[in-house]
Amino acid sequence: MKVELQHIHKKYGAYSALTDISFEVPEGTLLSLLGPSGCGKTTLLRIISGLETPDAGNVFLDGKDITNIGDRSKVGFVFQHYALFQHMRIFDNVAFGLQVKPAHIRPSKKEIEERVHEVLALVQLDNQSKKYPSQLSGGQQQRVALARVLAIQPRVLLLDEPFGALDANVRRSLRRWLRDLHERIQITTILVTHDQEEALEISDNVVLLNQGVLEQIGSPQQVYEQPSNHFVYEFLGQVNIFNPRFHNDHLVHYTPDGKESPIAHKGHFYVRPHDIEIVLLDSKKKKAQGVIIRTSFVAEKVLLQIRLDESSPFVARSSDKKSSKPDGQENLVEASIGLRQWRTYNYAVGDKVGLSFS
Amino acid sequence: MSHTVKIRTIRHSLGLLAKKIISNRTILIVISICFLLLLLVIPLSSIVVLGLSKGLDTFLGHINSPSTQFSIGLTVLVSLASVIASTLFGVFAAWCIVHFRFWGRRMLQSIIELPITISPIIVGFMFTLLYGKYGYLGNIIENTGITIIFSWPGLVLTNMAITLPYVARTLIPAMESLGADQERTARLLGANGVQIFFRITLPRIKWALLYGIILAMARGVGEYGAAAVVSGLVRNKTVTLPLQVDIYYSEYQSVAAFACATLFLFVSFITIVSKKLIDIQNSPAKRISKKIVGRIDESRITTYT
Repeated sequence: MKVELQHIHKKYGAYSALTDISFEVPEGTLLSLLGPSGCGKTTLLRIISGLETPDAGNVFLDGKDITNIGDRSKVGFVFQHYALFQHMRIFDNVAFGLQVKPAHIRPSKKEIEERVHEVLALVQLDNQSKKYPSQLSGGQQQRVALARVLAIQPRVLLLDEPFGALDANVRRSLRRWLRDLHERIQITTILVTHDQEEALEISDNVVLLNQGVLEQIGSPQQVYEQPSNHFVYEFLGQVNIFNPRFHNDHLVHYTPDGKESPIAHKGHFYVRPHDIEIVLLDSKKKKAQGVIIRTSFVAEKVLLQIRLDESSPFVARSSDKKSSKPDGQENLVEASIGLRQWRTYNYAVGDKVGLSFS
Repeated sequence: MSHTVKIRTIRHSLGLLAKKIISNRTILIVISICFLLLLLVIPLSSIVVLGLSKGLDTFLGHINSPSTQFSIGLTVLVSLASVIASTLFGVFAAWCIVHFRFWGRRMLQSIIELPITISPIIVGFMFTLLYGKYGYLGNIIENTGITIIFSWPGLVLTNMAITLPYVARTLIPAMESLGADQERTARLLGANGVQIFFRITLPRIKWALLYGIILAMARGVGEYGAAAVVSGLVRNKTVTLPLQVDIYYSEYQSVAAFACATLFLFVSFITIVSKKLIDIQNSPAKRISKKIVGRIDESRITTYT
């Protein structure tokens, strides 16, 4: 089922939670609503689910305006904290949505049983159906919550930070599992998350929200490689921000190379750590040079912190706003290189290296 | 100071300390026991002793006498009616307070407590003034041929007013601690209000609910002050058991009075036992042991199959 939002506005008092949000989720795709906390992503999900109504704008399911219709029987909602019925066995939890249907559309007992076992098998928990929720792990409970919603055969699935309460390893395996599941059952899915990695890994499309405003919508590759503005650039992964250096009131260099700095925002430009190449000092490709002041080993890659020389045509500042010192004071660049390259060149703290942006 | 002397002094002061603790402990325990004996155990057991002082036959005779029997029946009816009212009100009020945010929510929460803090006699007088023959509402109601004051409806109404908060008071904290997540989920899964209440809420609050019902029942059965004002003491018509005890006593039939009073002891005993049972049912220890038992059962099933 296609989901379409048109000019959604929502205010809480004077605070604008959502401002003019419009986008479309094509049938059978998985879309992530991504943004920092307080950006309005959960409010948006609740509006689609019917838990809240927008102040203005419309929600369409398959072209039908359902903004003010209470009935959302085609929409399945999964909470971050599972909200399983603690006093019921897993089987009854999953059967609940079917058992409470009005008598004339309620499936027979046998059909309910079959359906429950079917969805429990889908989430690989059919052997746990006699247990109580408290006897399952967090990841299993979240899968039960998903099965419970799938049992009522929704045409749209809404997931509110479904893995937020789980630890990192379970999260990672569960999101791959969700991606596989989605490929198998092909339900239009909207997922709220604040985890960039999660959004990029499992979505067909990502919507970036910031302070109630839609910043960008696109495929994971699009939003990562062609960010439409500085918020998206800084929110999706580490990035180095370079400012041009002024010398005797004259701009020494604006950018090292127009092509290689996709965005020039008020004179800044952005380069991701993995787009920085470490080159020899006498290399022609060298754009700047500096001294390695720290190396950190992060499994498949190595992060190098490099302090730029005064002779470089620009100064760097960290994208991490909290720790950023005034421009030029720190002048640190973060570069990430593959483990193999690191082994070959064996860069160490104190080495002088050239930088190139690829 | 030599080493041994040092040790001896330490030992000595430790001994003193131990003595001090023990003596304080003993004093506190003795005081508590004295209080219990003087204020509860001796008076309560003397009720039984005095009730049975003329032998078991006399005791049963007093209990089986028509006026006692009538007052027992009336008490049961009145307290049943008020327990039902208290339960319905309690469930509705707790549901509103926990699930909705509305203007006056806090105020409602405080007003619910009111009957507990108002003297029952005052409740009785309020009802007499309002529903009596010359009261504002009584005037209107008398015209329909129904009398409230000095008749059983008055007893039911005052009893309801006094027991009203008991269920709500136990339910509100219980439901607040459970939150509204599961109810919200149930709604999203398509359940209607009635289904949500009976399938999600009720199973989770049943012990708190029962607890409140027992408290309301105990309070309703023993209610005296308001009943004394609105009853008018029409024998075999408006005399509840507490009033009957009073009547016997003022007629110098102390054995009959104490015989009836033992019935209240019996009610208290049942209340305390059921309260204890509910506590055990509800305790975390029990829940954990249930969980473990459940786990063992599950593992047994999986190993056998």
